Amino acid sequence: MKMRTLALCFALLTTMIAVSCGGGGGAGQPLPNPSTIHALAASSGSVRISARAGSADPGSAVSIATGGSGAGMAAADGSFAFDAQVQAVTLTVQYSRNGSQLLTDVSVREQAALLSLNHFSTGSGPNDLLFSGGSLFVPNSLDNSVVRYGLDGIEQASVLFAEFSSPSHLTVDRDHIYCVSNGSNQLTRLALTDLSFNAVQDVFQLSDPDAVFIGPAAAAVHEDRLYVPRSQVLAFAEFGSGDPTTYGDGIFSVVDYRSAAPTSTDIESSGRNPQFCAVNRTRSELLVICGGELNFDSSFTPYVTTDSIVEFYSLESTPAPLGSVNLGAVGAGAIAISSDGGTAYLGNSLNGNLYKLDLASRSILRGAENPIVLTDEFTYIGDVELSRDDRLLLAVSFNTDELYIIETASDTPGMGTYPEPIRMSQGAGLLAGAAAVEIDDDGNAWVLNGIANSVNRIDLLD
Amino acid sequence: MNHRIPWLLLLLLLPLPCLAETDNAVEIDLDHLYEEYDLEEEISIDDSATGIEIDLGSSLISDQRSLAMQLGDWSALSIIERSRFTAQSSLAGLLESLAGADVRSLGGRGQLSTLSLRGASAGQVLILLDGQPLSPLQASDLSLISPAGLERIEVLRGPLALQFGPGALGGVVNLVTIIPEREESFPNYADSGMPFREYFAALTDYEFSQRESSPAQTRYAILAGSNDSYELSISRTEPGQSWTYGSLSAGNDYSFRRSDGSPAMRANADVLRHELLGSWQSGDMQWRAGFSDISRGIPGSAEFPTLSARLDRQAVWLQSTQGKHRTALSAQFTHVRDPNPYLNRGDIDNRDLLMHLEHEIRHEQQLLRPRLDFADTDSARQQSRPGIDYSAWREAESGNWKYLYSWGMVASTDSALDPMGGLAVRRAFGNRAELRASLSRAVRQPSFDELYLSDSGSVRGNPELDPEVLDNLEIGYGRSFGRARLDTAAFYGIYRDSIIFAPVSAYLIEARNTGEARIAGLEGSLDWKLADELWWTSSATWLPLAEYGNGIPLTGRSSLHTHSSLQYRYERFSGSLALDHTSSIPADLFGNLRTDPRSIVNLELAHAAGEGELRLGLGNLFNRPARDAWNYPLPGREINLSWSASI
Repeated sequence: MKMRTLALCFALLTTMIAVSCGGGGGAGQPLPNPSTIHALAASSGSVRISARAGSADPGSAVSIATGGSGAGMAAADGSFAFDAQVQAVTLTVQYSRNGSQLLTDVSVREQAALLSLNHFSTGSGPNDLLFSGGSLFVPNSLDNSVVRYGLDGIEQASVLFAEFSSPSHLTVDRDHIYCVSNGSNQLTRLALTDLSFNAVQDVFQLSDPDAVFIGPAAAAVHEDRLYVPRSQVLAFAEFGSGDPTTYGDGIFSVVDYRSAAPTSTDIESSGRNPQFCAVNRTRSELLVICGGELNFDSSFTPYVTTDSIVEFYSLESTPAPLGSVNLGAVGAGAIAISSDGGTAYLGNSLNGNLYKLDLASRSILRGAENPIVLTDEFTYIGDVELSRDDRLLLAVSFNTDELYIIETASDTPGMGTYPEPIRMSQGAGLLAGAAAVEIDDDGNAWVLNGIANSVNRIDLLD
Repeated sequence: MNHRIPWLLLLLLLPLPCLAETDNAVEIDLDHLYEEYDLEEEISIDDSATGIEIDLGSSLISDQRSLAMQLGDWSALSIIERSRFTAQSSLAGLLESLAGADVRSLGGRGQLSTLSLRGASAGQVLILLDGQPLSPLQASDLSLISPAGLERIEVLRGPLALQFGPGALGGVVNLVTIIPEREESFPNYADSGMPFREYFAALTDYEFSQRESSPAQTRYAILAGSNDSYELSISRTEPGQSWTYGSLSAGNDYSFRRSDGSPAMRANADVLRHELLGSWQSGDMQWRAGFSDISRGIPGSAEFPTLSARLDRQAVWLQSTQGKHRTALSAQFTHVRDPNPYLNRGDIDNRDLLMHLEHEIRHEQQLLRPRLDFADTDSARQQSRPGIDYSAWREAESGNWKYLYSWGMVASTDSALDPMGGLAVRRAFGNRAELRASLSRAVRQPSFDELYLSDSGSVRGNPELDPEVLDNLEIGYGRSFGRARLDTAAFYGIYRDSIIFAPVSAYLIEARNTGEARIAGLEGSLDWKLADELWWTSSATWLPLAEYGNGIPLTGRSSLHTHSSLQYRYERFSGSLALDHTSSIPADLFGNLRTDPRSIVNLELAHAAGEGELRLGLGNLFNRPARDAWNYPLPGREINLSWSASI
């Protein structure tokens, strides 16, 4: 008991000393605390001053004491973000915490400097990016390979598939990595434990005599069951004619690997053209995102003719429907589910919008009427990803080569730490095609350039 | 589709040379020729209307078909003579041996091949058949014809070729068909020690002197090779006309090794081609005609049997020349179909007709060329583009220095009026060496595909394109050393608004102007007669700089390409051993993908017997795996056996 009291006293003492040091300088002595206050310079020249929740007293004023001009106010959670005009590479931010006025020196960083463009090259036609076990995995749809890279970009191992297999999507569980090939319609299971990455454990062949294009897409895995959405195209119109494609009923396949020989069950979805499956582990639910029938006019502008429906199923060999959410004919695509299982964000496959769902109530928080608009440019959202703490939502815009980093507290682009999207253009007017985004264990973001055949690294701020 | 309008225009324009004033005056400063080059042969000029003018007194020698006649002194020029052709030769294979040249290919006999010169793209290289476009309005496919019907191939590198029309940013290739009444090969240029133009003045005389004694002759060549390839050519030359027929059938289903070493098979790359080239004289007019019909599969893999894309292409060339006038029609009909396209794409069934009609008038040192381009296709519906090219040039001389000023413009109704110009200087050091330098600006207006392509898969043109502009500086030096000849050139070019087809969205590829790009390099060639029976020829091109302003490398350009061959001839036996090395090639738009360097060795052995010659060709002798920039595997070891003879 004595020891406990002593320890408590020591803790209180050290806390008081720390607090007094932080505030004791008053207006006189700046206290460097750069890890919590950021100053990011945008391409426009203005600098975004920001700090995370708990950094300042709620509602208190925050200003630039030296090195520039600008002021803001701390939000209710103690975070703040405002734009300043800065004349120096270092500035001093004045704010109050626990009633004391603090001064902190902050170095100004160019937001563009967070980007390491073309950190490493992939194979030809990379289509997905997966982080697992300290490595990045990339399926290269044109050279028919799946390659494992270290975070230093060094190729560690690879698996080569047959010509025109077109490996396009990856998903992973504790022991295996699963590759979906939409050219050969095969599902390939590889052992993660085999560091040589050359052990193909199972190849499961999807087939459908009625479909000219089965189109297996972004699968999800749970307890040795692989859930595979399928496009189910029955007939294509002449290429470029503008006539619509003929889709069959939406189907996703459940491939069960628990037995020696995998078995498959096809489940008919209520929506058309399911393209993404995701597992909500917290709520033990399977989500199937049916984007709707996707077509192209004669100018190759995509449009959908049926509604986007997010369907909820039980996680079983024969999933039972639990409910659905109809987003309307918007072209919903990639999905990210929060770690608490309560929220999902969906990217749009036709434009730069995001949607937000309440998974508990299976309701729309931000739908077609009030989407999160990332950009009005002609693009689509290649992928969405939530940070481990669900604080940041990352979304890549394919046609504009941009990574949007949004604070989920506001769900508003341009608010918070990052004043503008990370622009990943390679120059010369060439489109790199931001297709997928992942976050590693250290909190860095990785963006796959589907056309440029490379991966960018973005250092996310604490 | 209404195809009648351009055909009617053709019929109206073709007789124009007949209406023109006949002016075939031949002026030759024989003293100059004799004194400077110590010619021993008696010159006898047959003043027949051949379209050739010789005026050595004013240093102008022009043949409407010859690059060498017009620009041999001023730019890097290579000539591949008919004597170097073999039954196994392809245009791509012959061109690849030259300095500055790089061939991109889908691999296999008769498959799509395009030419890059000095780092310029295929679309920036003008390829002509007797002075008229080989493939109108688009990058030329070297596989349309074989060399069987050609007299020589002229390759002029660099953009100093205003006279040949817009588009020659990287250079010009002129395929010269067999001249009637002549089957002899030119003597080797490297032996002559002359600058090109004077050299060709002598050749012109040589040609005429042969005319009277040349008998009618029929030559044929047959070839059978691995990959199920068979080739036949028959050439008939007689006074007043010459004809060549050729056919090619190739399976091209060869095996290759994938990157992990596992074997695979390439399929659906078969080719069937028929061609006919002819030249004949009718009164004062010289006529030339050509036809090519090629059908080929787009290469796939035996592991993906549903790949079924197929291209059928018919090309026609027709040309009449009389004195200073020349009228030419190039037309090309292409049918691409793919009933079972790869992945999520609909059927493809496109038919494209592209036509180019031009009338060329030369007067003294000026050239005027009205032209009409026309497309009536699934891709670009009834688009037409009248235009006009004008160029003029002047030469001056002061002691050992010679100067060339050239200027011109290109104008089209759907594009701006674009001026071009050039300044070249040359210093001769006796008969054995010369130094030259040039500064030029050249323009290429967008092709029809680049402007109007639509309904052709997910690729479309862009009517808002600006012309490409190249500012180029070149310094060259050539020297003969006894039995050797060395030619070198350094070049530096700034390409503005280069046009490429690039993705603009996940679904669409569109023609667009890119930023500024710079290309700099060195090229050199060495011809060395090591002994009476032994020759060594080699060429090298080094492109240390071929990139956009931001450092992105230009796709498809290798930084180093070398070609060396050793040729031996002893009595009836001859053989050649050639090594072709290509360094890593950027294989995507950003240079993130690169091919592995490749070194290919080719061996050819020949034995003459009577009037015939038997040849054994071993391509890729050591069966080295290789891929081209488009990631297509190139054939492994190929064995070809051919027989050619005269009747």
